Parts: sequence; C-alpha cells; structure tokens
Amino acid sequence: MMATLSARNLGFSYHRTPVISKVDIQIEGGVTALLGPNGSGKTTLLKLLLGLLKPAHGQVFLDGVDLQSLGHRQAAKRMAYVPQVHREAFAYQVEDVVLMGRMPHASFLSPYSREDREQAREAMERLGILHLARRPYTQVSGGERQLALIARAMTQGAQVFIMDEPTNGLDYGNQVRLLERLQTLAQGGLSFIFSTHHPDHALSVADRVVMMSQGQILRDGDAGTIDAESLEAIYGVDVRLFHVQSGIRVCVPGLRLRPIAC
Amino acid sequence: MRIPSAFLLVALLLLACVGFALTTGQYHISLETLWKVLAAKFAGCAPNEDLATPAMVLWSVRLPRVLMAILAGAALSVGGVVFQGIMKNPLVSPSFLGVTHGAVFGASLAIIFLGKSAISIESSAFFWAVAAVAIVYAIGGRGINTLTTLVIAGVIVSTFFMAASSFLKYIADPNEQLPAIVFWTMGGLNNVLWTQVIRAMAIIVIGIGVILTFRGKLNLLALGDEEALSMGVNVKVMRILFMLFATLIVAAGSSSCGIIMWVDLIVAHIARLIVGPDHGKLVPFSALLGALFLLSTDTVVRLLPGGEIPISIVTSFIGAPLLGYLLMKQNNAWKA
Repeated sequence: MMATLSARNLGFSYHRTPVISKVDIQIEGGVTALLGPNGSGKTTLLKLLLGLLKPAHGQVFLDGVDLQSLGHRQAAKRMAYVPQVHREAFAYQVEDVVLMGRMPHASFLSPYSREDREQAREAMERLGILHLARRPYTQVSGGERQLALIARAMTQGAQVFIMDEPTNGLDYGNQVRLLERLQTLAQGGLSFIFSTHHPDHALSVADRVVMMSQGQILRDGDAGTIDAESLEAIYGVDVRLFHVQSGIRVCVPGLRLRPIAC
Repeated sequence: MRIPSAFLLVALLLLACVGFALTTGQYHISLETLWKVLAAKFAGCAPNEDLATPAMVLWSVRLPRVLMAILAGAALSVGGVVFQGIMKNPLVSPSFLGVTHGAVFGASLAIIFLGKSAISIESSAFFWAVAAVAIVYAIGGRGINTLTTLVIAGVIVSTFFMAASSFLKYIADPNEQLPAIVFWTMGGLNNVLWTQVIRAMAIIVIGIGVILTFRGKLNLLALGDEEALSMGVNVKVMRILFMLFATLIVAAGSSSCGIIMWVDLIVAHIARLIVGPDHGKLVPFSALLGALFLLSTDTVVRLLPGGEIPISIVTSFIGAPLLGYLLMKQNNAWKA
C-alpha cells in the first residue's frame, strides 16, 4: 500500500515573519521535485511535512492521520528524513548508521535485534553499499554517504522519503547516479519529495514539480509545468528550455546564448 | 586492536592496578596478607591479631580510596562521553557547561559558611554543580539548534561562578579556609570515607545504568538532533535526561574528591579512538579506562617521593599535552 502525505492550508512564521502560507500539497507515489529560490520556504515546507516544525496554521496528514496526533515515532515508521550529506563528528560504521533506522521500531531496553540487523543489511545490499558496511561513515565518499542515508530511511520502513537538496555536495556523476536511484526506487512503489536548485534535476526525474516562491506554491503539476516563464518568475533570470530529444528537455540560462563580445 | 581484547586488556590492567594500589604504600602489605584480610572480611570473622594493622590500613584507608578512584574515574569519563555525544563534539567536557566552577563555588561556600565537614562540602559542591548546569540550560537551552548557545551559556555561568568563588576566597580566613578551598580545587582522594564511597557508588551506578539503557538514543543524538527527531526520538527530553544523569554522576564523582581536571575529556576521547563511537561499547569501555586512568594516577601521586601532591596537577600535566597532541593530528584522530 502506498503511503499518502498531504498538507492543508499550511502556514508557518519565524518571529512573526510568515515563511510559508496557504500551502496545499498531496504526495502519493512517484518523485516530486520542489523548486524555488533561496528563502522561498522549501526547507521549511519539508520540515513541516516531517513534523520537525509545528505548523502555525493548517495540518499535515500522513495516511489521513494528523501528524501532531500521530507522533514522531509512529510517523517515522512510514516517513523518513534523508538529510543533506554532512560530515559527522563521530566515525560510526556505515552499518551502524543504517541500523539506526530501526530506532522507531526498537523496544525500550534492547535497541536492536537480529532481524533489525538483517533489515539493515538488506537495505545496504539493495543500494549496493554492503561492501562498505564496516567502513567508517566519515571516510566514504559523499555519494556513498547519501546512499547510506537512503538505506537508513529504507531500514526505517519508510514509504515516503523527504530529502532536502540531496544532490548538494555531490559530484556530477554521483548526482546523476542518485537521481537514477530515486527513479528506480519510486518505480518500486516508494514516494520521494526532494528540494533542488537544479531545474534539470526536476526535468530529468520528477513525475511532479512543485514550484515555490515567497512561501507559496506558484505551480504544481507534472514536469511539463516547468517552462521558461515559470523559471524566470521564481528565479528572476533569463532561462531557455530546449528539446534535445522527444520528451527530454534541458534548461539553459540565457546568458550563454548571447554572442560573445569581442 | 579488536574490541573484545581491548576490553579484556583494560580490565586486566585495572585488576592489576587495584592489587598494586592495595598492597603498596608507606605501609607495605604483601599479596598474601591482602588475600587473608579480604578472606576474613568476606567470611565475616575478625582477622587474626597479627593482621589487625594491615586490616585497618586496608579497610579504613586504602580500599575506600581505591574504590573512590575507580568510581570517580568511571563517572568523569562516562560524563565526558555523554556530553561529547550530545554536543556532537569529541573535544568538549562537562566542565564546559559549568559543572566544575559550580562545584568549586559550592565547596568554597561550604568551607566558609558551613564548616569543613566532608558531608557539607560534598553536598554543597554537588548541589551547585547541578545548579550551574541547570542555569546554563535555562539560558542557552532553547529551540533545537542550541549547542553553540549552550557552550556560550556555559562560559557565562562559569565566569560568574569563578568570580563568586574568587570573592569567597578573598573573604576567606587565610589560615584555615583559604588553604582548604585551594586544596579542594586541586583535587585529591586522600581522606575518603566509606560513607562517601557508598553515596557516590549509588548515584554513579544508577546514572551509568540509565545512560547505558538509552545508548541507542544517545547514538542518534550524537548524529544529529533533527535526524533523531525524525526517527521518533524525543530530542528535548532525551537531551535533558542525558545532561541530568551525566551531571549527577560527574558531580557525585567530583564532590567528594575535589576537582580532577581533564579525566572526562581525555579518557572519553581516547576510549572513542579505541572502541569507536557506538555508545553501547563506548560507555562501558570509557568507564573501565577512566577507572584505570584515575586509579593509576592516584597511586602514582600517593607513592611520589616527598609526599603526596594534588592529583589535578598530575592529570593536567598528562591531559593538556595529550589533548594538544590529539588536536594537532586531529584529521586522523577525530575521524578514525
């Protein structure tokens, strides 16, 4: 069964300055890309959806149940946060990091059972990082760390994956590999929502694109929603879109199209 | 080194150190005598007359002292591990959050106004150490990303208590009270009483037990607050719980033997280098290693020719250069 995450009339303010207002969104399967300039409220929206922040207005529902009444622990069994790749202070083994995903399921006294370990290994195997199990998390590459965090979210049993700029800090190859991975996993029935600064990432993998500006949703639809006007509207720069093949579009900033002055 | 062998090695060294500490000193006791005295004690009968002196030395001087060194060493190190974990920084210690200066203030207060009895110094130091951390938390503990503000609040509160302690030293009677304050701040395990050992043991064993029970959540907190929250850990409650129990054991460990510098930070750090950051292993290992470190240091201090010197002088002479060295090679040491 596919989990549904939805928000109704969501609003949030930092120190009385509204950051998010009147946001309605529903996520049910597939890959959703969240586009918007800095300060448009992408991260705040993701945190509200995760329940890390309490909404000032409106509600977030996970499978129809209000997140506030569901509680973090129950929510964590169906929805996971995949943070940006970060450098940790402590060198946990990759396996230990993935295993932490079993925390919402763990009993009070003995944190992890044999089955928990089994699930962690399965997730690592599915993502092709089983050979890294005993390596310190701090010493594997950024791409591998991101895979470990996704493996942890899978170990958690999550159906909905919420990712804040997952490609940030990854090299080009790892960005592409990560996006391919998201697409494959989404075809297997999982839902992803990720924020990104690259319209091309949205164009290449997203089934759905949500464009934000000044704390509100400007557009919400399939990848076709992205056009030059909407990108110009949210980023304020000249952007062109080109068809490179049937159905495949790329986004190019306008400045490259100007003749070079000699 | 494999982890089980590291545990075994430290446990054996600790055992050897206990044997050495109990038998060596101004009054020498052979291993055989030690065995006889202990056997008689456990059998519940009074030792023979020729064993009366060694029994007295062992029972009223050395055993409480050795036990206190083990308890305080374990408590300080586990406190260090917990604070480093929740602050996500392998180079902080409880003293960063005001524990030390709170305890010094409490002890000074007791020495001047409550008489110099062990119980009043101990309880006052304990109370003010916990109070200092509570004030730090009240000032800096708001919101979710509060680690930096907590450390700054720790500096503020520490400075305030330092000034208050200086004022107390200034008004203290220079013949009686001032030396007592100064010696307390330099730490020492001499004159440890059984009642102190038992009080400390109760708090420290319970505290370490609670911390070990929640080791999995401590691992998550050490990784990141928001991640922990997104995985169903009640970050605010757990952080307060860990700070409370870490402060309680550190205060219990240091209130009866004064300020012992560096043990918390250094032992926690080295233990993490040996067994890794998983708190299920790190907490028991650092307890063992801290016990070994403090007991061996205390034994050296006790046996130095020319009389005993305050233990903090020695732990600082070992700890400060060691931390400097670790900091210089931090790229390897922090992450390994």
